[in-house]
Amino acid sequence: MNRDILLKKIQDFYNNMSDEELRNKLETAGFEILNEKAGEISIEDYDYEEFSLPKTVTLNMGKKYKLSYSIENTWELANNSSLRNVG
Amino acid sequence: MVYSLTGHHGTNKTSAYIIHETKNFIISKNEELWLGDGAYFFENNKKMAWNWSKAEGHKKGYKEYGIIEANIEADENTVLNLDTDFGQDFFHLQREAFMERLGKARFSVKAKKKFFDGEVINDMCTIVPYKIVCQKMFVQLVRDRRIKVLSRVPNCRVISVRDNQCIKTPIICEEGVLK
Repeated sequence: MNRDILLKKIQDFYNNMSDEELRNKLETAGFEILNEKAGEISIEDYDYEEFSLPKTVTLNMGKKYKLSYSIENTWELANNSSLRNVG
Repeated sequence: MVYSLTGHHGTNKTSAYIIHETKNFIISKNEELWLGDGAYFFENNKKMAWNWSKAEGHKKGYKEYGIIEANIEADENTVLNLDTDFGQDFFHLQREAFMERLGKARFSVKAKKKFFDGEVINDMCTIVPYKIVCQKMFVQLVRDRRIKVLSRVPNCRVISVRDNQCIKTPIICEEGVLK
């Protein structure tokens, strides 16, 4: 299929999808929908949990993604004392 | 042209027997599926299916496993191959549009994983009715899961079959007890 045609189909697909349809689709797929903020994605994956390898320091890593592509990374020691912040 | 391959599916023994008797796979649907909705196989890789059973057995608490071997067939025009330039280009066009649409929504989304690939692939399959999605990827072995390490180099090819009609003659090719 021609790339331009494909791109048009993709754009039409999302342009024709109402917020309600998008919400239902994501909820059916198992995503949690939050009403307090608009257009943000927060991630809760196993990187957030304790990540450990034998004989190395244990880190907790928290990440939050925003659609503006800004990324806030926070590295913390397992005991929650702050190691450093990467803005 | 017909797309045809042998697939291996690792699961617990009870499920393996149910699949074998009913000849029917459940098409799994949830946000964590790598390649979207589908019945999942490793391409001609019994070892990886066994490894998957073992890792899931530890996680879900089953002791006996079964590996299903099946022929997977479909018209090649209904196969989305994410290892090709076309497949990857299509995926990222779709993904960008998906992320842009989420950004315009009047709500926020909280996900358990940082991959939205499955949801993006489901949307691709709405636009083009693919029956099979495949991609080479790295799947953690048991020891990898234990120490939570990953690799960027694929060790298997994963096949997601969205249409049960594409799964032919499933048999139990191996069963046993997990140690």
